[in-house]
Amino acid sequence: MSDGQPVDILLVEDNANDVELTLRALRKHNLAEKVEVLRDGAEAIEYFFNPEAVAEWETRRPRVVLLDLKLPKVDGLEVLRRLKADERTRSLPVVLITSSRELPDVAAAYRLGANSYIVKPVDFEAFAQAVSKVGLYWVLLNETLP
Amino acid sequence: MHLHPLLAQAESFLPHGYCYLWRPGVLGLHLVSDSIITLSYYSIPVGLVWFVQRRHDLPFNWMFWLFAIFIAGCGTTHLMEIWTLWHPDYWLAGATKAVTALASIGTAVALVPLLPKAARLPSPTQLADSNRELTRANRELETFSYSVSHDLRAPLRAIDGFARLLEEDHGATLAPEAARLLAVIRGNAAHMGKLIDDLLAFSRLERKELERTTLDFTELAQGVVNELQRGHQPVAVAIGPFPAARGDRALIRQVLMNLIGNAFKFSERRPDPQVEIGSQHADGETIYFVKDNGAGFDMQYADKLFGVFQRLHRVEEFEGTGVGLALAKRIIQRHGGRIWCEGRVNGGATFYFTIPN
Repeated sequence: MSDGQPVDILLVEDNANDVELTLRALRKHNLAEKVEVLRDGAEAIEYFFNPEAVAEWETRRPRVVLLDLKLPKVDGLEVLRRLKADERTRSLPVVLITSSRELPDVAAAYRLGANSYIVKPVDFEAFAQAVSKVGLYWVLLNETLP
Repeated sequence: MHLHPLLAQAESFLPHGYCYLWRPGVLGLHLVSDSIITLSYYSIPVGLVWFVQRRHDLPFNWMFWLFAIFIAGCGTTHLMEIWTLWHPDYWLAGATKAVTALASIGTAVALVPLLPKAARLPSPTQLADSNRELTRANRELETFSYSVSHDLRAPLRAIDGFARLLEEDHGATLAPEAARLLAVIRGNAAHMGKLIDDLLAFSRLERKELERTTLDFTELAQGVVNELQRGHQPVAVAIGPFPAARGDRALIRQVLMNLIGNAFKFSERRPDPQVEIGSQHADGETIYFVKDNGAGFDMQYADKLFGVFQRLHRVEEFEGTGVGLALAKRIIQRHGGRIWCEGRVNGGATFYFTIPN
């Protein structure tokens, strides 16, 4: 997974097409260099909570987590709950990027402490713009905890 | 001295107390018992009337009024029992009984045809059962629209996205016809995205609780018109006046957005597009209308207009998914109102709706 390079953006997304489109959008703004991609919720839990993760925390800690809601094995809300329940990971900004505009999802995400909630537009232009704005804001503009 | 025959008779009667030989024990027993019965009989109708007034939806509520009259009559006969202990007004007491008798016969007779109907009313348990069934069906629908929302959008994004990447990466080497075909693919992906969004909005509406507040129609309509006028060729718009109304602000705004949006859309090719949003009073209700002088429609298709995905024009003629009017109809229905339309081909269209207060 992590090859010792510091990570800016951790993308948790099961849909290969969406991964490709997201990376493409980030690349346009030179944000694709330090992106780590995980393909399901279980991988995300591993990434943050296995013993190695604690040891390598400094390099593993992303500036932002882009989290899909509907993920195989462990869903996005559960990953979010785990992240916000742990002292070490609580301060990580988590942005939900999902297809669902359903109110219960939005409400549950904010209740669990999501930092932002973005609905993926169908239109690629709009999608690329949304992804790059999120990337630019959280990676370049936002101050994280030192 | 000339006495009224009733009073004259009364003089020859003895008060009922005489029958009890004015013995305090038996007198007291009758007095106390009749007083308690009278009070109880008078309090029950008060309770019934309160109940009927609270529950306007009550079936056969006139029956409760009959019960109330009948029970109050019974109370009065007991009140007369107390009165006649000292005053021998037996004719008056008898008349009270006769009135009560009529009321009780009326109630008893009215009850006969009512009983089988009342027996057919669903019991609270049956209602709870069907309610549970509905909740379950609703939850299934929610799951359904959830997966529509999530799973149907993802492939569309891929179709649009990869077509766009093809354009970006190979646009220079693509023949003009190939570029056109790509644009057709993207256009259809976008259209389907819009269809899914509209359909989801429609299904979400079923689950949303109405939040009724006082509505300022002039402000709502003006806001919608301002939004539509932006980046649009000028349209002559007349708005209002409107009486005060109550409804769900966001949903009624949606209705106005759909109706006024249509009026703009179907009149924009006229040299002098005109849209009027107003209200009229007829048969004790307010009828709101949105009128345009645009393309109009053939009245024989009028009932089709409000169906989901029903369209009278080809997409090339006028943009749209065919969900807007279905959505408007559903919102008006949920407010307990009606929506209908009038139109003529190339003679404009008028959409009417009511919102009962």
